Amino acid sequence: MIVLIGGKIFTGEEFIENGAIFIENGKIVKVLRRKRIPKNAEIIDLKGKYILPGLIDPHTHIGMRDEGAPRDYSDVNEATDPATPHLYAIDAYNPQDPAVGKALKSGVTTFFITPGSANPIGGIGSVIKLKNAPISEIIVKKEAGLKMALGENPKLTYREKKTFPSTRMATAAVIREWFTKAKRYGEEKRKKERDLKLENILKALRKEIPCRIHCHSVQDIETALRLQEEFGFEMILEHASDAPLVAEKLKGKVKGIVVGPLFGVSSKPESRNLSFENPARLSTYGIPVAITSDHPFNALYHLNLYAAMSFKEGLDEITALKAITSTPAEFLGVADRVGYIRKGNDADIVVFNSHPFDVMSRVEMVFVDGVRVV
Amino acid sequence: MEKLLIIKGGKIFTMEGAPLEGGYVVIKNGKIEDVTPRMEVPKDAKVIDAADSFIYPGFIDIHTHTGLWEEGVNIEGSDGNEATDPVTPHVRAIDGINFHDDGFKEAISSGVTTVNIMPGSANVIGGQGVATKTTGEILLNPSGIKMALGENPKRVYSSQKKLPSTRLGNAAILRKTLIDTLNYIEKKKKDKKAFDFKLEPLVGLFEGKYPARIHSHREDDILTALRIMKEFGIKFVIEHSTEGHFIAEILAKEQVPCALGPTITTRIKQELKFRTPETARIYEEKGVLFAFTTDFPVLPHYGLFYSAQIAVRHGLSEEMALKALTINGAKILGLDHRIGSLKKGKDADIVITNKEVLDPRFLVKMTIISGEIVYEHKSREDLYI
Amino acid sequence: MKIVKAGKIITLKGNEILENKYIVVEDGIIQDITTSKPSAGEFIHAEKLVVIPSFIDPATQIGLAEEGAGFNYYDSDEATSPSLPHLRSLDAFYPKDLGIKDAAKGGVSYFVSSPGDSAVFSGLEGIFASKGNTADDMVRVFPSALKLNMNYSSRIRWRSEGKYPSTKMGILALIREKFEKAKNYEKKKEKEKDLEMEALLKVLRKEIPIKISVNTRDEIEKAIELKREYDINIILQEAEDSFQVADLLKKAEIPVIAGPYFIAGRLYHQRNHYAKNLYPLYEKGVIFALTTLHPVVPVHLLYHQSALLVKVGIPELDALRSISTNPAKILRLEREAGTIEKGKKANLVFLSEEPFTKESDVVGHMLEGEMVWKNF
Repeated sequence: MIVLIGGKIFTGEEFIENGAIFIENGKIVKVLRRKRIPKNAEIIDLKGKYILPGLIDPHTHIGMRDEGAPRDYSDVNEATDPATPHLYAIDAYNPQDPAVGKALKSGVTTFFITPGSANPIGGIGSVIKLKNAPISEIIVKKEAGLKMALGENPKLTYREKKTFPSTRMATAAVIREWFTKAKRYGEEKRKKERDLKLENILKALRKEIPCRIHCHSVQDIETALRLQEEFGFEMILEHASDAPLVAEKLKGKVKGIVVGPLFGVSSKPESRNLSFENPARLSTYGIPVAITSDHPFNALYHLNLYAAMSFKEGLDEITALKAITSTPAEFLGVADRVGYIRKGNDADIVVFNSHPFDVMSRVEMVFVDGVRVV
Repeated sequence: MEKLLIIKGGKIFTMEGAPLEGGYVVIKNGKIEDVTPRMEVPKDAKVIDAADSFIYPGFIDIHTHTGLWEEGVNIEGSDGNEATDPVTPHVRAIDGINFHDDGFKEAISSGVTTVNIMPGSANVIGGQGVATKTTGEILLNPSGIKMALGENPKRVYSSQKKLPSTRLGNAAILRKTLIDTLNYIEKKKKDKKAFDFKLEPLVGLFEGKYPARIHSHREDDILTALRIMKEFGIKFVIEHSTEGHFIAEILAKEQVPCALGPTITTRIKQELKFRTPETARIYEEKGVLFAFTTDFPVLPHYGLFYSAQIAVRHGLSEEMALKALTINGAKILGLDHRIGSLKKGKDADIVITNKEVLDPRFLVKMTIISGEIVYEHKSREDLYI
Repeated sequence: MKIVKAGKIITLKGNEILENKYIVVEDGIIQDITTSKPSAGEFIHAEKLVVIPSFIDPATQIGLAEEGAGFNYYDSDEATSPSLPHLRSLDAFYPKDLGIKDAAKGGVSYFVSSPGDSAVFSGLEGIFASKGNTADDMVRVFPSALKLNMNYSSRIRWRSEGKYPSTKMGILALIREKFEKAKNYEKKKEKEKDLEMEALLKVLRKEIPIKISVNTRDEIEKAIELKREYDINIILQEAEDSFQVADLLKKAEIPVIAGPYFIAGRLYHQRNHYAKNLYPLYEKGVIFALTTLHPVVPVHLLYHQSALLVKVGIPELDALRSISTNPAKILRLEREAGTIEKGKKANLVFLSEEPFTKESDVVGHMLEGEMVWKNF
């Protein structure tokens, strides 16, 4: 049994001062507001520190394009067929990516790994822990979302190859065609043969997994809404630079929005409204917001600073902290395991020596499944 | 009790008979409640004084690509031609339109309240069009299936060394696809599971749900369209109809409506060689139903009015010119129960101008769509000229 | 001798309006404008019409981009090298281009025919009249300017081929390289004649101006710098952002050729391409002329296009000046054209009604004394 006492604990919902976290067999067994220490426990005094659930990034390609690797050593996009729902991002995960170690040291313990945005239907993303263990043992949820993409990326990828889709109209047609086929496949009583592509889309149609839709501009957000109305899936929008402009329409229709990468300059017309003010604006409409690095477009290991910048530009402190802990956990459907410091959840905990939004703050300890790894 | 919005005219071009010299247009709940020469104005009504202005039904352009080719953006905003396959009926204009584009703002400030937006003419079968108010309110989706004959498809695909690279190929692809659709319709009758996402939208053509909208300039291309559509019994509209004046009698006899225009552009292709501003007058004489179009962004939406003005100078009657900007387009779209004239029960789509629209200097003072004031001219800054 | 009996004449000399006068024309020149009826001559009865100076389009590809022939027949764009200052539009001018008759019917007496915009230095342009059988019949001034493209069209062309110059930096470097080369060529006592250098020298010697296609403010400012650096005369074409530097342009006396406006589908660098942005130029007294850039917009719509200036608040007479007096000034034709005055060429447009009214149309066109269009 390990007991962490003292300091400011952010549970994923609120702050508790001078509390105690009891960890046993990799799980959090108790969280108390008072200190009551059992006799045979290993006690760690965290007076003056900030304790958070291990940080979670809900949209990364870490391990798919290694830091420092040659230009062609990239497995982010299977840009050879616009509809690849049967692909699994985890099949391209390389845990030896130097970014993995850096991420852990920065307090990120869980992330969603996903195919890129070259394809209108890219494939399945998984939730993984940053842990030194065989890949099969670090999967928290194998099927956590179906990655899709609208806007400039898919159409310009395929326009270069002079194949369908080379316009936004056709990108939507690819999605509609496959979703319609999947719907019909789902209605077949006896299936002639198993279709791996259609099976995965069916999971999204049945709301077993959300659609994770990459989009930036208003017109692409509106297309996502139109598609949702036709097919009834659950969706989370990725990036959605223009979302504050149509927030009224989005309320109640999206499970949430993943905002980021925000550090850096918009290099495309569709993302020109990229701004650290977006999380605050969306929050005022009651739309849940998670923050991502979209590693490697921004580095995964500064996640707390992206949340800090959002806080600086108007997002309230608790919502900003949730945006890198409990909110992504909810989006990914793994809140029973990560994202919160509470009874029953995995003991994934990060300790900062000052407020995580302080640019000088350093990570002193990281626990994954109750084992101290940093 | 919903408040009334009343426009006090001014000359009112109702497009339902002779214009009224002075009168009232009454708007309630987004619809036209009444158009009358005299009334007692209720005290709580909002009144727009247009006594020295001109009042028209919102103008209609039945062939545009507004929002499909975005203003001020390069290829990232170009979504009108899926030029990767000559047959793409499953592609929809609505999925490519940016309803927030400046093109819509220009349309509204020019008094154009309804546009019919379609894919371009790179493909023999380009996809589904959508009729929408320029505020983004959808009227009909799909409004028709865009098709194209003539130089464009064969030029696009010959450079890719694909069929079609001649007019022979254009027609062959069109006929083959229509036959494939008929086969598919038969197949569906026998096999409930039969489904073809690509061909499904063409079934609507055979069911008479919406027309084919066929881009053709040269007289022989227009006649090829007629020949093929008759072969398959499909309703259709001819887009541009540049050489239509040579075969106006045939078009009138076969009751082929025409989206005429853009008429004030240069003859940059061989198939435009015989463009003339006299076409509209000849259509009027021979009884061809036509509406002016801009093919935006080939012309800005305000090009509609210059097209009409120049046609009038070449003999078109003013009355028909105005019809070809309003009610004729509404009829061709099958939406004349809702738009195209100022009549009780129709949508309150109304434009107030400082001079007649056939006057080259006119400016729109106010645009009302579905009963809402969506534009009011205040300064040079709000013009898109 | 021809005598035009005009009901109303808008001479465009200031705001002068004359009524019921006889315009006496001989040898293509206006000999007199008088109230006393001449005794002999061929009378042209324009009592019910309004006579204004005919139009001039200072930037077209008429004759090079033949209407109705299709893109494959165009001769406007020798896009094989970025520097071709010695090409002459006169050598590729097709006198039976359908656009020429339309120009005549539309009241356009003179138009500039210019090479295209792929090359940086694309060649020499000249002024042509809309009547005649051969290019040599029709040409009036050749060359009238050297065409320079300092904008997106040229750099994107070379970038797509992976060639120099493919950036703004490259374009300016090329221009300077070529000007320096021309200066060196001039200094040499004994040399072989070099057509390219001769063309550039015409500009450096201020025999002809350089007409520069630019769009954005930075491109305009760079063009002004070139003018100072080499002491040359420049005319800006398109220059959508000119309203942002109107004071600069006025001070340096740089004219702008603006338009066309019956267009949409603007690219990124054309975001400010709106007729309303000419109003600040009018306010600040910058000289600007309208163009159709035929075949972008048909040349005979030049008059109709000028109605757009009236819509954005520019007074009617100034709108008319932008299609006659101003282009005449810019093209150095002001001693012979641009206004209706004794001693100038008899270049007249006959309007059926007051300009810009509902019924107003070009019903007649006299070009250097000859009625090239008469529909009244």
